[in-house]
Amino acid sequence: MNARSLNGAIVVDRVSKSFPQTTSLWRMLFQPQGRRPALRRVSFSVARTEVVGLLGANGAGKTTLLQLLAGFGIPEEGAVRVNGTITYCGAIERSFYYRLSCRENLRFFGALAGVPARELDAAIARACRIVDLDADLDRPFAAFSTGMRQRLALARALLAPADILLLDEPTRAVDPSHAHLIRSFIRKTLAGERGTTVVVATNSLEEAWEICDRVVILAHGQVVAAGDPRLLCRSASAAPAWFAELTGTAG
Amino acid sequence: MSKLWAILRRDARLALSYPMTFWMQWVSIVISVTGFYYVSKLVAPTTALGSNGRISSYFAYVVVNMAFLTVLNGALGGFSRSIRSDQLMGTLEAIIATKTPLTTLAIGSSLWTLFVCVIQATLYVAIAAVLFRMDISHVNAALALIAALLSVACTAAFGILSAAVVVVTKQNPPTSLFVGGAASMLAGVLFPVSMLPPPLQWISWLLPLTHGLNAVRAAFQGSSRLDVTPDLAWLAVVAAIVLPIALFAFKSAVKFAAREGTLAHY
Repeated sequence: MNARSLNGAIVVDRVSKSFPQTTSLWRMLFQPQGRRPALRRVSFSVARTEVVGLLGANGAGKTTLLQLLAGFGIPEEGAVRVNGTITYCGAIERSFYYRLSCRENLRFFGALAGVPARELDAAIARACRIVDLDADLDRPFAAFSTGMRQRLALARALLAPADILLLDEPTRAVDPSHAHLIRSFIRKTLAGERGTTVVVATNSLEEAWEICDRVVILAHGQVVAAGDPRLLCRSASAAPAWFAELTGTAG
Repeated sequence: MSKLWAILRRDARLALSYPMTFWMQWVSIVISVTGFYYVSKLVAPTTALGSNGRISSYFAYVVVNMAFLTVLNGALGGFSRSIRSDQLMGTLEAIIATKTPLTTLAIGSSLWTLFVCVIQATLYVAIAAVLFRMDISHVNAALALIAALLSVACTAAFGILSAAVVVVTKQNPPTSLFVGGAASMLAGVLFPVSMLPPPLQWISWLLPLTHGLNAVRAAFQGSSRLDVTPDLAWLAVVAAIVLPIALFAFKSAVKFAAREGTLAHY
């Protein structure tokens, strides 16, 4: 698909993004040199109902790209075009209120996401069933383990229906059985039955293999390969650098 | 409306989850009103403390001022404190992800603080009236309400400017220092503006807080709207100028942070 086309769900067209290397406002405004590039002329597109993986090692630019898609940032060059409503599920495990229960947190974020009050409790119950947290609804968030917090973040993203779901490492710190549950839900229910377009940032080849129709491989902020993950892995017998980075194998 | 209610409920639940901090605020009001009562015994009632030539006691003067300042502090700091707190807790990114309009966030995040501050202000006056027999029989409630609303609009505008600073710098601006310290001194919270040297009186005249306090004190002494029209007009002018500037500054700050990629940083 042409990266400039508007027919897909998402079009990323020669996007570049860099970050200031300082927290000083003065330097940000008056000494903008020395910025750290995070993305360099990245282009790709996502078709409707496709599950696309952004695959790359730590610092490759996956989260930055997802955040640009979610509208948290503005690219310095290029354009991001999104066709449909978006829900973003970040990888920050402490993005909830520690003093509130799981249910109270979801009620708050669900209301802000526009879920009508009369449907909120049913939506919370449904989302928590999917991530197997329905028995923990009234426990305080502070009592949740890291993996449970990650699952709760996914439940929050599922409260309001969206055309496009952006998931940043959705199974990070999640135990294997729940990780399988989540992957299966993404593949079968979200993409298969509901027709949701999903973009997943991950550094796991296994995860990409299991759920993605296509992967876009990022290294140092650039797209180094793209295509069907199974075919890419097969053709990677010559072990390019990205493959070695992701699998931890050298040479 | 449901979003505003959700934000208000969150803030109430969070505040009540720290019961000692919450209830100590109320105890401190009782202590400070009692303190003002005994300090006021050192100062004889005078027209310098009253409005439009009326005599007032120092106790009534300072209690009304402190009560009103409490409300304005809530309007000033509610939004910026909420943004800062969400930055620190890591919840700001998740809130932004819900695409909640910034104006809804600004209003919603101020509601609980403002509500508590209004109750605290009422408590100030109620304790003074019930325990220390402060005369509130002449209060022009409608005028007090108009003065309070205009003052809150002015102060909230400065609060939104503070929030813009928080979004960009990830630091609380020293607004409490300006309002609690410098502005309180210049606006006549603890002593009448007429006691200040003339150049400082001129600065004092420019401050919306001075006019808000004048109008509310006058309302408590039973003055009519005509007596405080210049004060109300000044408050309306400042609100009309600063509020759009503040909203523009806040939107620009969010855009700047988005461009820099630091929107959810803390």
